[in-house]
Amino acid sequence: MLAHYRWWLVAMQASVVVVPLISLLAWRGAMAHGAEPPVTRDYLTTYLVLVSLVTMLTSSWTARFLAESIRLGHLNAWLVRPCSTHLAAVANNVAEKIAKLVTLLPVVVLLAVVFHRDVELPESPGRWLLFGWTLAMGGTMTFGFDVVVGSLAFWWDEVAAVDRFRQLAALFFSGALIPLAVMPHAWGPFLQVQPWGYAVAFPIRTLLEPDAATLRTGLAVQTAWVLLTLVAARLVWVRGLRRYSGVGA
Amino acid sequence: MHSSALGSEPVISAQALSKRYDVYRQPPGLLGALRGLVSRELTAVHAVTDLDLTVEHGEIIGLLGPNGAGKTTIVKMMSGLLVPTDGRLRVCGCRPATRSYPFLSQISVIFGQKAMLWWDVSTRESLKIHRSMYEIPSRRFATAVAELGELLGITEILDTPVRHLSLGQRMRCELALALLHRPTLLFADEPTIGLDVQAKVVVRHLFREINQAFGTTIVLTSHDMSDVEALAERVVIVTGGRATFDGELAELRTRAALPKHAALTYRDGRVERVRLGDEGFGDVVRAAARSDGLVDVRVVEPGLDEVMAHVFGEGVVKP
Repeated sequence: MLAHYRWWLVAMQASVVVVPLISLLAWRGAMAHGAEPPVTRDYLTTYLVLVSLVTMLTSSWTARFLAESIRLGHLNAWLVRPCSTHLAAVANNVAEKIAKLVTLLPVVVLLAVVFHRDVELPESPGRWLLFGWTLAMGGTMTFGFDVVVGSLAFWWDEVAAVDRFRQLAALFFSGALIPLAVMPHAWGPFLQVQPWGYAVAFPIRTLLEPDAATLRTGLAVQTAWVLLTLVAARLVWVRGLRRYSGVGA
Repeated sequence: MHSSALGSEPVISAQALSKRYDVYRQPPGLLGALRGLVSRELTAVHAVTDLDLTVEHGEIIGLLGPNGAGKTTIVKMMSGLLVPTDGRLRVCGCRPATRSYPFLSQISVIFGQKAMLWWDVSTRESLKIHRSMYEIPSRRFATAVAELGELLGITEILDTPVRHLSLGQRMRCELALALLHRPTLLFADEPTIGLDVQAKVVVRHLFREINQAFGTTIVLTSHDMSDVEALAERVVIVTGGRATFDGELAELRTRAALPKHAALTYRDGRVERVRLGDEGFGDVVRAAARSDGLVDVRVVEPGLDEVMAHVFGEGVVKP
C-alpha cells in the first residue's frame, strides 16, 4: 500500500513537469524556425525549467476540504479546541510541499542539467533569499484565496464551481501555463496588477531580471495582495462562523 | 494550561437564550428546483426559545429531549460552535461565541458520532497534539496518559493507528483525549454510543470519578436512559426548543405520575402485572393470595424510558 502511494507521488510529480516541458520544447522549436518572442531563449528555458517547482511550492489545496468540513459539520471538532483551524491546513500544506519537493526537485535538476547551456541562474545569495521570500509570500496569498473560496461554503452548499473558476484563472494568469512575458503587450497593465502572477511568474522573475525598480514595484504589489487576501480571508471566515450551523452533532 | 477563573459564578448561566436558523425552503419536484433557482422561500426555524439555565460547579446534568427538540443546539451554543440569536450566555466565565483560548481550554466535548482523534495516527500522537494545544507540561502529560491508559484500559492500544481500532476501543480513546487537559466542563453527547455493556459501566464510572475527584461539571445528552439514571441527579427536559422541566429525576417521576405495578409471581412461573392505581396495594395482594400458587410480590416503578416517553409525548411538567 505504501509503495503504491510512493509511486503515485512520483508519477504525479513527473506529470507536473510534463506540461512546462512540452511548452519548452515547443518554444525552442519555434525559435529554431525563426520565431522571435519578446524574451530571450535563456529566459524562456530557465523560466520553464523552474515553473513546475514554483507552482508546486506556492500552491494550496485547502478550499475543497474546508468547504466540505463546513458543509458536513466536521469543523466542529476544530472549533471546540484552542487552536486555529487554519493552522492545521497550513501544517498540511507545508508537509505536502516538503514531501513533494523530495520527488520534484531531482526531476527539475535533471531538466536543468539537460538544458544547462540555456539555464541562467544568479549566483548571489541575496537573490536566492529574495526568491525564497517571494515564494513564501506567493504561497501565503494562494492560501488566503483558498480560505476565502472555502469559506463561501458558510453561505452556499456548493463552492466547487467557484473554486474551479479560480483555479482556471490562476492557471492562465499566474504564468504556470504560458510565461506572462510572452503574453500580448496590450495586456501588460492588467498582468502587472492581477494577483495570480505574483504566485508564480513574479518569484521566477526575481531570479531572472536584475532590474531593481521592477523588483521593488513587484514586491510592493505582491505584499499588497498578500495583505488584501489575508484580511479578506479573516473577514469572510469571521462572518461565516456567525452563520455556521455545525450540522450533525 | 489555563486554570478556571470562575470564582462564585456558575459554570453555565443562560438567560432568555434563543437560537433561530434561517432556512431556505425549496418546493418539491423538478419544477420546484427550477423555481428555486430564481426565488427561494426563507423560513425561520426557532430551535431554542427563551432558555434559562444555571449549572453550578461540579454538577452532572442530563439534557434530555426527543429528536429535534433543540438539545444539541443548546450544547453547540454553550461550546461556542453556534452564536446565539438572543439572550445572555456565559460559560466558564466567558462568552462562548468569542471562542477565546481561556474558554476553549476549560471545556471539552465528546461527540459520540464524530471523531476527535486523528484517524491515520495513533492515539498517543493525538494526545501529543493536544498536549501542545492545551500547553500541558511534559511531566503532567506523562502522568495523565499513564492514569487514563490504566483507567480506560487502553494502555496496550495507545500506539495503534486509530483506523485499526474497534468502535468500543475508539470511544475509550476519545474519552482519554477529551479528559487529558482536565476540563472544568465536559459536554458529552451520546458518550456511550456503540459501547458494550462492560465498557458503558467503565465510562459511567469514569465520569463519576472525574466529577468527584476534580469537580468537573458534566453536561450529558444521551438517549440511553441507563447513562442518565447512573450519572445525572438533575435533568433538564427540552421539548420544542424550550426547557419544560428542570429538576431531580425523582421529581420528574413524581410529576409524570405514571402508575406503579405489582408483579405477582406464581409457582407455575406465571408473572402477572397489576396496575396499582385506585386499588390499594393490600387489596391487590389479598386478592392474589386467594389463589394458591402466589410465591412472590414485587412493586415495579415505571422505567425511566417510560417516564421519558410519557414526558416527551405530553410535553407536560413545567415545574
